[in-house]
Amino acid sequence: MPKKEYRILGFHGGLNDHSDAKDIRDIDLKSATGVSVHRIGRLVGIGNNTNTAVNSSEFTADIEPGYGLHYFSTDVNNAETKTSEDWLAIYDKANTKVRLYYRDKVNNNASPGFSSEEITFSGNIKANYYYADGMLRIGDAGHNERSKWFGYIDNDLFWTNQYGTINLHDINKWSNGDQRLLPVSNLIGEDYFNLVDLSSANPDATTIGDGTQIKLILGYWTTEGGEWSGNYSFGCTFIYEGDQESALSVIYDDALNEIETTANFYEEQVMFQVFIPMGTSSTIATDASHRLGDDRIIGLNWYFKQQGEDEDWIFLMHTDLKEGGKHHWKAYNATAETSYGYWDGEVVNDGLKDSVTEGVDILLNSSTPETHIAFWDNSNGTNNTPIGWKDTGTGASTSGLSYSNVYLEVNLNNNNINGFNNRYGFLRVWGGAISPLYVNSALDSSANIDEIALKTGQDGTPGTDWDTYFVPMVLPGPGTDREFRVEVLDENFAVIADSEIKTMTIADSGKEAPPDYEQEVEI
Amino acid sequence: MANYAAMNPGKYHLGQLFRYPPLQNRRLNERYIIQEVKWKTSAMVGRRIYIGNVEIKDKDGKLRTMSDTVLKSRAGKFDTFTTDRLIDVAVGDGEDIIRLASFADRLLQYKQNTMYIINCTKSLEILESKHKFKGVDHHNAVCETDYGIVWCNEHGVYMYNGRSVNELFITEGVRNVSEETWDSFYSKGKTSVGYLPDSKQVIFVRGVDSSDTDSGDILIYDLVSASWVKGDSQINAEDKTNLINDWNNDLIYGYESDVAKTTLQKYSVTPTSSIATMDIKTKFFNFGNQSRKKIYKVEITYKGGVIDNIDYETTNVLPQYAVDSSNSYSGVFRDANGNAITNIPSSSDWSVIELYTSPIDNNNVKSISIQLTEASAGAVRQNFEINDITIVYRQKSVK
Repeated sequence: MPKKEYRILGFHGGLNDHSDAKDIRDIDLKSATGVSVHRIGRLVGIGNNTNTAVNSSEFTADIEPGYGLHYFSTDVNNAETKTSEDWLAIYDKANTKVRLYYRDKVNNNASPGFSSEEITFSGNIKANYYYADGMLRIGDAGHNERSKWFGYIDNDLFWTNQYGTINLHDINKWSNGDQRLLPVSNLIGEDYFNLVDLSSANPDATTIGDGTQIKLILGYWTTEGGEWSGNYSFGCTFIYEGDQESALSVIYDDALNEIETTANFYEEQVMFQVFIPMGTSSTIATDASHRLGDDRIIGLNWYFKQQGEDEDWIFLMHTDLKEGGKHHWKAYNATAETSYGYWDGEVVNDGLKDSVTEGVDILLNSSTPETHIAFWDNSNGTNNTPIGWKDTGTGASTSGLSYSNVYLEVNLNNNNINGFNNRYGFLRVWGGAISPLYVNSALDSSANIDEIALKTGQDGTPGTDWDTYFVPMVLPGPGTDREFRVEVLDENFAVIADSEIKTMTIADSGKEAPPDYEQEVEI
Repeated sequence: MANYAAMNPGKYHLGQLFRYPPLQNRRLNERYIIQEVKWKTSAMVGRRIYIGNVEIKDKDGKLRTMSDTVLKSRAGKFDTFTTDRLIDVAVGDGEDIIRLASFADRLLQYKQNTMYIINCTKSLEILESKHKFKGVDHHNAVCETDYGIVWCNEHGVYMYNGRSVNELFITEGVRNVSEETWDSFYSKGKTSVGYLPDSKQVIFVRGVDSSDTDSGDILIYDLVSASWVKGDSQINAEDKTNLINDWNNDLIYGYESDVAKTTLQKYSVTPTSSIATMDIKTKFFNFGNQSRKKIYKVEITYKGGVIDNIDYETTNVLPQYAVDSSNSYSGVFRDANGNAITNIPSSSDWSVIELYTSPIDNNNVKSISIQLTEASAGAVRQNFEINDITIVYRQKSVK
């Protein structure tokens, strides 16, 4: 028999020590220790550990066997620049803390090292990790220590303008803490979570405090004409990064006995304003601790409950700690500004406006009967000849004619000049053919169109001189003692001053009522 | 000094107006609230995080250990867990959740003995399948790869590829790694699994602490060729962290290089140092039948022993052979002059070495297996490679 060659060209079957060694495939190996078969057609040496890892020099960290190492990437680097960075979280058992090794990715590893940020636990943990939306979570598989988080906080809190270019507190830093979403009662404490009646003044310096104690204050006041009736309790939840809501904390008079603080209303409208103490400066230092105790807090959700009516807490409003809604945030000086923003319309008898109690005058002058309301044919406070709107019939010289186009002269005076700079409100005119009529600007006595300034005396001495507006409107249909009234509204349409009801008889002018534009739709 | 506060709305005495209590607004549901949660394992599926084996402080402040429970976060709210969003696929079964892992839209829940596959495609999770004897005893015994999830336990090694669970010791219907091999390798609670994405290999590392005598031994499964190889002490024997992949996708781990000191190490698929233990044994080739043959020689195409332009003259590889299914690889190869070959010489390029069998035992042979092992001179040069093996034989006629 001739010689033969038997060639074994492949070895990628790898180890097969289960079957009889003569019955396995040619590419199989009876033993495959210290060798690798991953390259088809070759046997090469098996791999091994190498010290060319991310950091070949040893560092301080005691290992909890089988735990502790995690890789993650962020959009911000260790130097808080908005460039991506790679990290290794390494648990150090001896010091019960997670150390953070960063790669220095932007410089291609020129200066990698350990961050000064460390996440410290009070005891040893078996570190587990998960990473989501820019935040690392560290849990203890032993269930002994609280879970924690680490991440970059990029929050411009308390905007004071609409673009957030000016704000009261910037937090742009690496931060960490307990993972749990603590409620108000844990971070602040019931004693410093208060409901304050602001009917007569803004919260004072004692209420606000000097900032050493974290506080949260819900202020409220009322005006008549609403549907709030009864005793109401209030509570709040924190909104954390990711729109995550904490548990509710209730405002208590006596937290120990769970006696809630209540506000009593009777057919009223209610206004709410939130105060978060900042300290003794009108700004907060960049990267200072969050004024509510956790850097992740970005909002507040307020809830209310009517006592005796409902067991459920009902959502009232959201307070955004960043933009803060349409009117944003403002630094309030509790030492000097308790009276700011309160309309003071009480008029000292100056011989002209003594009939006015809230600084809103719609009468012709103080010597005329109440029925003599300041309507004019023209926007400059003059009448045509004959007077267009006025009924000249017997005994009715002061009555108007129905559906006549008139200008109502409204005079405003606010004695308080503080807290109203650059603030403009609305007039709400009752009694016309269209009622109520909302006016955010009107002709002034100089025939200029002006917004309704809440700081009166715009053309003279603020707080002393009156502002006059001529509001175009249409008189109502005929009737005796038709009621007219003008209210001054703030930016959020809350009533801050009222002319009170004035009456006038409206005679029939023969004009038809303005058409009703409601259409009947044929189906 | 004045006391300041941030005020909202940001105008003096300007409130958020409510003409009536907004009774139509949503009501706060605090029935399911969890004040605090501690978790043993986690996995992300889509925009939700699942945490398993938890201890919670409920709304009343009561601590509850729920070792069979998985809690699911709300989408995008990775710290928010409530008791109405829990998954209990098996409660009171005497097992705890050891590990969660995810692949595509499936959540894999590992207990000590049982593994559950949970379908997370709908708003309510569905238990898709239950796999007995496929649990794990340590969280490091599970590894996520781009091909699926790989894990091991005392019974074997498994992979879930999104459709089915496959045993990796079985290739084409045949088991390749013996129970004895796995039993001697596997260390309960101390076997870690890692992934080498570049070479598409899964690495099993024995021993997370130095107390294990075989700590640092490895088994490697090649996902492409579905093959296994072993390595002795290829990884540090000291206390080790879990295995992870870093930003380069390298497999790394930390080991305790000194007291309270850690060094990070990378696993290199290409060996960077000599290999202390090598034991390659081919099958017993009978060339198609069990009749008698005469084996003349074996030719091996190889290279190695020249490293960084330094010729070490030897590869430190000792070739031997065994015949007729013997476990004794005592057969000595000789060169053309009859000298015993105890160390294959170095070669910077592919070369062929002729290994002659001994006349004493090369005749009337039914089968032959070749062994390549480390020579007595030292560990095998790390760049030693074999390209092919040729066996020259002559079939003997039947008498």
